Amino acid sequence: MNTPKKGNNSISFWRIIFTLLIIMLHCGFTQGGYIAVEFFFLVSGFLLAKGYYGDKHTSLKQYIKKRIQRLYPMYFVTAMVFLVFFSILDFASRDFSVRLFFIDLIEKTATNWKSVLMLQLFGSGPIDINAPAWYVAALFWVALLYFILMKLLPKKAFVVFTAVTSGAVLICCFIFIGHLDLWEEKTLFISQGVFRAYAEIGLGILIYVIKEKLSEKQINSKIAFIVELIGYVAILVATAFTRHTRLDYLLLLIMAVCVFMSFSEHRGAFFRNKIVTTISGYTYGVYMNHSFFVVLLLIFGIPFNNAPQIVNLLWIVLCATVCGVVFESLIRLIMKKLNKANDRSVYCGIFMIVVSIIWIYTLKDISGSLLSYVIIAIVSVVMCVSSRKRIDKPSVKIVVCVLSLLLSGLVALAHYYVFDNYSGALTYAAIITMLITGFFVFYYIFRFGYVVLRNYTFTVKREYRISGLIVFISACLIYIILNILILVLCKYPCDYFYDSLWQFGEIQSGDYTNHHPIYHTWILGLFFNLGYVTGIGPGNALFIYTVLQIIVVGLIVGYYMKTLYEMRVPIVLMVLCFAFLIFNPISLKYAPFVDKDQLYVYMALLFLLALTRIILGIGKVNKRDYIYMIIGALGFGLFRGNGFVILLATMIAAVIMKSEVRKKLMIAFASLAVVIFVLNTPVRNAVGVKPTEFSESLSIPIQQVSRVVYDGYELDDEDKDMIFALVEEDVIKEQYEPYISDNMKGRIQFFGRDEYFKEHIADYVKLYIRTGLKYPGEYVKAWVDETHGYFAPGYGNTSLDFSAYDPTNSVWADIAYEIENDRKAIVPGLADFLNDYAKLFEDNPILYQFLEIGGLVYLMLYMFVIKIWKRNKTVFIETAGLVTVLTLIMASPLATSIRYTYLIFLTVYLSIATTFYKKNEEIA
Amino acid sequence: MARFKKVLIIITEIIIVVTALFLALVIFVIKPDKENYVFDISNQVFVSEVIPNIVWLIVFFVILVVCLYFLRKKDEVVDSLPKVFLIVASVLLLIMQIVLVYTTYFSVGNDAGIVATGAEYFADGIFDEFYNQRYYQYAPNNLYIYAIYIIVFKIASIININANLILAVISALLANVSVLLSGLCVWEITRKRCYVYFTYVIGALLFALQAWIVVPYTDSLSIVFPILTLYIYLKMRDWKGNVILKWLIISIVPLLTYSLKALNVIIIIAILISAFLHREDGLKKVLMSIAGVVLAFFIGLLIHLCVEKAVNITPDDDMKLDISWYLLLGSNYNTYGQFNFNDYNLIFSYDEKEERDSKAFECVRNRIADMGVLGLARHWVNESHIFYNDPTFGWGVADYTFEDIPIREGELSQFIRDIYYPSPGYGFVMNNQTEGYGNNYWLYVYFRQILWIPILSLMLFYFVFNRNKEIIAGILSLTFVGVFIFSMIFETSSRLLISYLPIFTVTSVIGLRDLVDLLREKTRKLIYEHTKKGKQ
Repeated sequence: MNTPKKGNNSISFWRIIFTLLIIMLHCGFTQGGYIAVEFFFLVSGFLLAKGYYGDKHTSLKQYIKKRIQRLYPMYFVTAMVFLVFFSILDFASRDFSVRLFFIDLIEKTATNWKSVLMLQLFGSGPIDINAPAWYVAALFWVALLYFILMKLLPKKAFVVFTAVTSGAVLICCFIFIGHLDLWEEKTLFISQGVFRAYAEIGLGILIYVIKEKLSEKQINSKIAFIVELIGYVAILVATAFTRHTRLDYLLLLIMAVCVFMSFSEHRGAFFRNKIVTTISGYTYGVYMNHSFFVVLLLIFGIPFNNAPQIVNLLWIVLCATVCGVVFESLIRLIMKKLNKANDRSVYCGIFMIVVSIIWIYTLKDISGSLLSYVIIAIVSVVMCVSSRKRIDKPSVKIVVCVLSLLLSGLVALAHYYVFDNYSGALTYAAIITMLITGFFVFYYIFRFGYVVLRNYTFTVKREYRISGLIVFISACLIYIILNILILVLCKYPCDYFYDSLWQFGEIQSGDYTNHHPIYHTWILGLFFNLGYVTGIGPGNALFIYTVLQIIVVGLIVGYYMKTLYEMRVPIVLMVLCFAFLIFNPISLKYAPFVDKDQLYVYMALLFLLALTRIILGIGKVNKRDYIYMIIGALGFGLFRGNGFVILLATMIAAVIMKSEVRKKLMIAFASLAVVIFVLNTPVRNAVGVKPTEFSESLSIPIQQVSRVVYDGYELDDEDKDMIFALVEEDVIKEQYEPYISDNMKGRIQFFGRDEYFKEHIADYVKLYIRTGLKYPGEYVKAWVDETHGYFAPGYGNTSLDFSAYDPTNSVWADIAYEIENDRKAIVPGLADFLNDYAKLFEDNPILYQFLEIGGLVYLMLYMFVIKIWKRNKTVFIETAGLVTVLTLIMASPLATSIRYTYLIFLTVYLSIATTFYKKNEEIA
Repeated sequence: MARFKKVLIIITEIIIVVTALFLALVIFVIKPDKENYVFDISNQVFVSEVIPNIVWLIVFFVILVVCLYFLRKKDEVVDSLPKVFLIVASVLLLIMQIVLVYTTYFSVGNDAGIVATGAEYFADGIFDEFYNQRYYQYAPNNLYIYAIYIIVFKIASIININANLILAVISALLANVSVLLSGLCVWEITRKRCYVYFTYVIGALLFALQAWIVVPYTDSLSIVFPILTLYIYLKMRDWKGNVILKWLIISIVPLLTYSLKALNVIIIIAILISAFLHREDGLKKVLMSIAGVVLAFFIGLLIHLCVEKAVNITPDDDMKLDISWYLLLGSNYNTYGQFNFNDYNLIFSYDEKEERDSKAFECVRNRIADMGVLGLARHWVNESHIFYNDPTFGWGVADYTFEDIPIREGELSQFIRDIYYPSPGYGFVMNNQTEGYGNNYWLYVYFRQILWIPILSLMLFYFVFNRNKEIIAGILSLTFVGVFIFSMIFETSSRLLISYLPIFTVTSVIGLRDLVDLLREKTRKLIYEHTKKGKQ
């Protein structure tokens, strides 16, 4: 069933007829239609010999490549059609799920590997995936055997050998089997179809040899045509009546003569037209696809089992032709592209697809979003295929390997519970598989980063006409108007939650602590008191605060967009960034929210933006940028407990990478660090603000020890007494939650045990080490459960409920009621709409990716590494994000929280922009 | 002969312009006296319809001007089709459609419900006299859809996926292909990339992402056929091969799908008339082309008979409802030509076809006599309003449209259903079928009105002002006139427009091109004269 050669229109025509005959056989029309296969074997044998003896230059490798390219893609596609169908069939008794479907498909592909790899004719087992495909398998392997024999033996010896062996096989079949419908049944673990193919391809070769011998004798074309026509028609008529008789062998001989005639010179004028040639090119596709529709008809009665047979036949021919043409055209298109591509990248791509599928398969039972990993795998495959370059430096190779192994290991570690599904040696096999496949996935991503992205910069295609100021004003106004509208229409006077109420309580009682950043509490206090003094009430005062907060954030948003615009980043990135700042449910939720984190992250962003402008010299750098930097740094260092540490790390990263303004920055940073430090501790202590609870930063050790008790492991009585002095045993047993430390930590903080804990800290450290040495596994599990959201993709779960906080059971209910007195909603439906909108992002697996943390952390790390390779001076942006994550994995009270990592969500666009930024002197 | 052709062309153009102006009057000037107007949030009689339509027109044109400004560099005649754009846009659109379909599909009542029940019985091997036989004897127009439903129900029972979902996905796919074909048609006509982009965006919003795609009834399933016919014609118009084969290929799609939707033949009639009026070939070729069309007709008939046989339907001419029934509905001035049970009972009170037909025709004659000339004109105005001034195309108007809405967890479904389902408060959704949904339905209606009114306006502009005497102008105009006449004479139902939306989109985009060209010409002239004067 090869592509028709020019001039062989006779063969093309009969190819169509015999393909139809086979379809008719499978539809129950003919008795002995299986004889059509003989035609294809004979023609293949003839063309094989013609190809080899006509052009001796074909090497074995070339031959195999050519045959695989021609036969295998369609074979694979049709096999997959069946496997997909079988996988869908499995859902007949259960609800459909995309995730389960793909897992099932992978399992079915693995189980039916022989059929997928064209090996179903060998060994045990039935042929049950696209049964007619046995012919392709037989054709491929037997033709390959003949080709090797042709290579090895001299022509004469080969001809004798072929004649003897194929003759012998035919005679054996004639005597012992008595018909030619041989394919599925196996003799000596080899399907009888292989013997049939061997004999008939051999016969085809012999026809070629005979034709070659008689080449000088010209056969009259009219006689040849008549003989051919009568022969084929006789065969077609005979197939209507005979089945499984020795007459098959006679028909084979007649067919051999007809094929001989068909290949004679000057033949084919009768059938020479475009339609025949075109249709003939698709017969292979039609043949491979028809059986699926036959199965549908015979087993499931689709479309109509009581319809006239001819209608069913037409239906199958139509469907098979449509599928055949579509698949064949697509395959040709892909093969054309692949032939242009480098071999290595093709093999590499196939390898990575397999590796990625295995990686995803090992991760199938994770509790997070599997789609995040699918996206990573797809990115890896695309990157692997896109670049063929290798890493030239061994040191970089080592770094890439280490990083890949690290990320792969982190993914495996975060999902340690997946391995509980396996037992014994299988557990180790699963761990190793996940690690190795994960390693390859990340390796190609990092390799691409080094060989391509390291040298990549954004190109400025055309002049930007609008000034930066207009961008600033537009972005700023859009943000402010939108959020103030939301605030006024449905959130008046403001949104708040438990922590905010706590701060309000502190303001009212005057008993300040630094549990929530005291400077933010003081600012809130200012507005609170303003409300009381002016008589407008705390609610309205908080409204003024919220409006001001929106304006400040709006100005920073404008500054962000202006910076990106002046950096001349691609418009797509700018649009994405702005869309995130405006339409992301996180942004919409926190805009009208009295929350310390909102100010903190935007102040941090302001600091990073100003610093970026100063270091890269974007726009006209002037004093204003330095002032913004200082304001940002103050907010960065004072509005969050871990802010100062992150700020310090960021400053160090900014200074290490030598920039032109390094000296200036060093002075500024040193002064800022001192001022923030002084404001943080001495000033706070001086005005009598209680420090943050001692146990606040020890979330993870507390969770680890609690985990040991919770899981019922043995401990010394002395140790038990020490632990239960802080948190009672029944509280641990009943209230321990692996993903949040508040239940354990709160017991220490709210029951006045914090001081006791602080006094006996040395003993508790010893207990911690002692227990850890005894049960290290439990410690690791507790840590992973408490922090996995920050170092593994697929998690971003945080409630984005837009509805107002219910303060009924709060300690500070009185204050809340005072604020609630002022609550008005002009359009209450808008709040519900926003709530629906946020839930949409939380529930939908695709939209959920916008709330996902781990993937962004990986992206930040990726940008960080690329910047290091590029010697980029703005690594401080990624440093801020990564140090945030580092502090979280050391002391996070919650496994996944967007609130804590919001800075990464905001800075990722700046990170990408600075990584690929190219300074254009003219614009600057 | 040449003079005769000229006269015919002039008459055709007059009909087109008059039809277009009549429509313009309906949409922008005349205020009708009807109560159940869809584009009416409060379900009160809409006080002012004209102003909103003009406002939407302005809103749309502001958006358009902005788009044109950004696409000004793409407004050049080029050779290469924007393949990458079409592929990426189709895939993205398909994803959006599948999300839409998955979150909003439901089982449909009415005729679609009867067909679905019958198909389910058939797939399960059950025979019901009404559902599997009698219904198709008086409504043979649903035969094809019945066959399609049977196949889908069989597949659905095997793979345990809701058959309504599969049907809705098929419908969505066809709408997707229609958008692609519309883009390709515009490409064939204009050879300008920016109009392909416009077509794609307008098509996607107007018919590929509309609520109707989840109702796999004849209207949404036949959406692809008129535009496919037009595309085949555009591709084959210069084909030099066999004339019979050429016209067989051109006319096979509408004549094959005539049994799915009778309205499909309007496009081929328009093509035939235009081709005849613009022909330059001799009589022999005309006869050959007619032979091709006749051959296609017989193939269509043969397939119809095969399908009839396959689904075990014995046709009964006495029961068959045909032209008289639709005429009867169309002439009912009390219901503005919409389906009603009075006419239904009237027609079913007679057992024999001949008697039924004669009574129906008599009733039609009486009604026309009752109305008088002015009354008939008023009746047509009302009909036109129902037909053309409803951007939802009668979405949810019919009783039991929402037969059974599956409960689906997840916010996405609720979110989309709130926009796409009409809320029970709209009044015309009977039996509170969509209770709990449709809270933001107003968004859907307003958005579509903003889109639909400018499309109609651009079409009108094209029909009235097109100076391009190309054959394609004739085809598009005659198609519109055909649909218009159909809507005036037979049953009035806005959803009948759905299958012609791709053609209308193409027409409006070409109208837009003409408008842009005209404006450019005028502006150039102004600038030129201004500079000339300045120099002097």
